[in-house]
Amino acid sequence: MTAVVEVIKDPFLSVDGTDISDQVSEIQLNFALDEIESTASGDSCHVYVPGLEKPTASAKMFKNYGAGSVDELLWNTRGQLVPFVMRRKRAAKGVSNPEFTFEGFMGQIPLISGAVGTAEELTINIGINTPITRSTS
Amino acid sequence: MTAIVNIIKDRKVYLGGVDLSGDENEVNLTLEFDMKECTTFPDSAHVNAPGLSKVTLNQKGFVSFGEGLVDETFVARLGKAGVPVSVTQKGGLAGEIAYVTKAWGSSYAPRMAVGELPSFDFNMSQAGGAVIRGTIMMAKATLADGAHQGTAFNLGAVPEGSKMYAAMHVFDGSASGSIQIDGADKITFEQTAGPGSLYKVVNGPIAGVQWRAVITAVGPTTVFVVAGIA
Repeated sequence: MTAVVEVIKDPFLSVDGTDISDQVSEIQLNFALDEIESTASGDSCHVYVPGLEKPTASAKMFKNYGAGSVDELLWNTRGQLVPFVMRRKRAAKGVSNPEFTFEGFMGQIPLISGAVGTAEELTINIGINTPITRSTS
Repeated sequence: MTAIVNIIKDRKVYLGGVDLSGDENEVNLTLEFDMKECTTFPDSAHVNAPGLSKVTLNQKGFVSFGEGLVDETFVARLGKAGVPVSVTQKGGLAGEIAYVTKAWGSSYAPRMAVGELPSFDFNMSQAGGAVIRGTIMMAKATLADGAHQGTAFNLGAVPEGSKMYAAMHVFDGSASGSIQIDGADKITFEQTAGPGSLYKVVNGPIAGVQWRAVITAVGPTTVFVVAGIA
């Protein structure tokens, strides 16, 4: 099978119902599972079984200011559980553009960050409060 | 639509009665929430809820040595009572956003290497209260002796359960003042003994939406005032 390579150009991120994709440069969603050791008599190596899901998510974005800005959104949703929606493209969800939704909160919010002469860019780490739902239709 | 990208060029950092803006080249103010696991039966994934918040402030720049300069300022704050620290998003004009919190110095690392400029890394921790996304009520300016009214800004009413926070930084001279709604004092700043700072909090509910800083300078005095609701 030949690799299907498609450069990411327009990832989608919505936070608490607000589409902030314009400001986003990277989104990341990591699925992981606890590895529960089940090594027992007769095993000659460590053996593990899957435990609870342990997903993590983050987003990198340029900060802007004013009404409806990233700055205002991050401040207004601080410490709250809000819905997140992620897609690899802004286009409507579909078989080749799955949508991932979950509820979470921003565990770390850079209110002010950066050095003189650099672009004001920040990464938010999202604490996930619900299982991640993947949908294509 | 293209992303709006701000290149960081101008930012103000006011620590107590000292303006550090011209000494620093990087500032990072971070609000964090503890991630508290609350997974229960029959969850199939780890579930987390936001816990207590924590504010950290990291500053980097160039050290200067002498009376009232960077080194002396930072050493004086290490492990001492918290003072208001205001960090502006932009150039610090009235009406712009500034974050303000009350913090104490937790670590100070001056670095002096041969052939290099002396630099520092200074960290502060929150000293109770909250971090506020405030509005600059009065930009840093030198006021002549007497009373001065700032522009009125619509900060909104303070709901029940919320608070109005305000900080006044006095860089030289001495000042007193208040934050008013329709001419009535809602927050009062008593007169400072000299350069310094004050951090005030009042509980809601407070009706009225147009807030204004009124500052009385004793002799020529340089002042900055910020206020916000949280």
